[in-house]
Amino acid sequence: MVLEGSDRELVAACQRGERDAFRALFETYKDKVYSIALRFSGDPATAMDVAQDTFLKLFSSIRDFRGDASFETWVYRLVVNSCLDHKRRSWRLIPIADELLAVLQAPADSLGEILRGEMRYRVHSAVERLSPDLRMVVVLRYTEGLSYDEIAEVLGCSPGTVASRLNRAHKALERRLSYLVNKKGGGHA
Amino acid sequence: MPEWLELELAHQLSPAPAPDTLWERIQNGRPPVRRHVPRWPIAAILTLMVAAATLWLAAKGQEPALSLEQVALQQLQHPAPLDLLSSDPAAIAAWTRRHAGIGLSIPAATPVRLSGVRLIQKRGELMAAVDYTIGSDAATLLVARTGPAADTSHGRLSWKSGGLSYALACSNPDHPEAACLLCHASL
Repeated sequence: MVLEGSDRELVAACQRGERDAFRALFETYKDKVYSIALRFSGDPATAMDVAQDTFLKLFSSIRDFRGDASFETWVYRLVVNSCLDHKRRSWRLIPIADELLAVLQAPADSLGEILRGEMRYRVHSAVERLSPDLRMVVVLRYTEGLSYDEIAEVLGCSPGTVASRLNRAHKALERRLSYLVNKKGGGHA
Repeated sequence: MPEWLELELAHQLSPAPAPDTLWERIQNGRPPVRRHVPRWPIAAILTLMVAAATLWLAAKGQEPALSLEQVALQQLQHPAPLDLLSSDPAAIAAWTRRHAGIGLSIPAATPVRLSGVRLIQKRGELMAAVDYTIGSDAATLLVARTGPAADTSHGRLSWKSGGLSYALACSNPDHPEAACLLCHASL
């Protein structure tokens, strides 16, 4: 089994049906799962649905985990599949407007706050306009900090494909966001 | 890739902590499984059926028949002026009996705030629409004369009793049963 020590014990305990182990496993992976779901969907309510779905699948199928890949990779695969399933099932139109509204309604103490809010909205909107394949690579890279090899293992493709998708995503994002950098003088908000 | 984009993505897509309520949601169990079935053929067939029915009715010179619940919702969403402005249950009942021959009974101690009643003609029938509010939610009770008095049935927001058909509509989509407070002190 390709498992870290603590994960190995937790997974074994879950496979024996120990209730506390499920909670411990949840605590270990909840932020990873929720972060990927949130950054991929751009919507907290959708992220909660996806995270719930992911953990329910994880708990119900943990007996099937044989350790061919690392447990973390297995969790990543589950959340990636849940995100893509959810995306296929639903059209997302409103949350982008919600984010814009949140930016407009947020108390802004200074011009800097307003600019940061605008940048956040623009970046999230630009990421959400990427196709699901490109967006997932971007999320795994920047939210989870995974290497090309790790992303390739999660997605079941080659590192070359990951590099190609990231390259296409970067070009699309640069094209959509470069005007903001020119507008604020090239600094990081 | 430019450095600003790398920094911006790392910053804006940084990890976020999961809300505390996530564990409770997981413990509450699996939501209904939504199987991925292509819906467009069903939607296309339904659209064609509705279009055909509408055309057929239009050709017959009739408007499509709405259910009583749909008429109640229509009255709630696009209300015409009330014929009687009153918050008095007895006055509304008396006026409705006198003008529409509909024997309406509203409890004197109703917890809702009555606005009044209007009469409408739908499906060739005279109906009474009683408007009222429950807190910040608006609601309408629609009453129409129906067939034999023995004909009774009960749905969630519509029912038949004593020779009358009733339907409720409420502006709160999450809790439409709040409209039942017109006659029921508690739900």
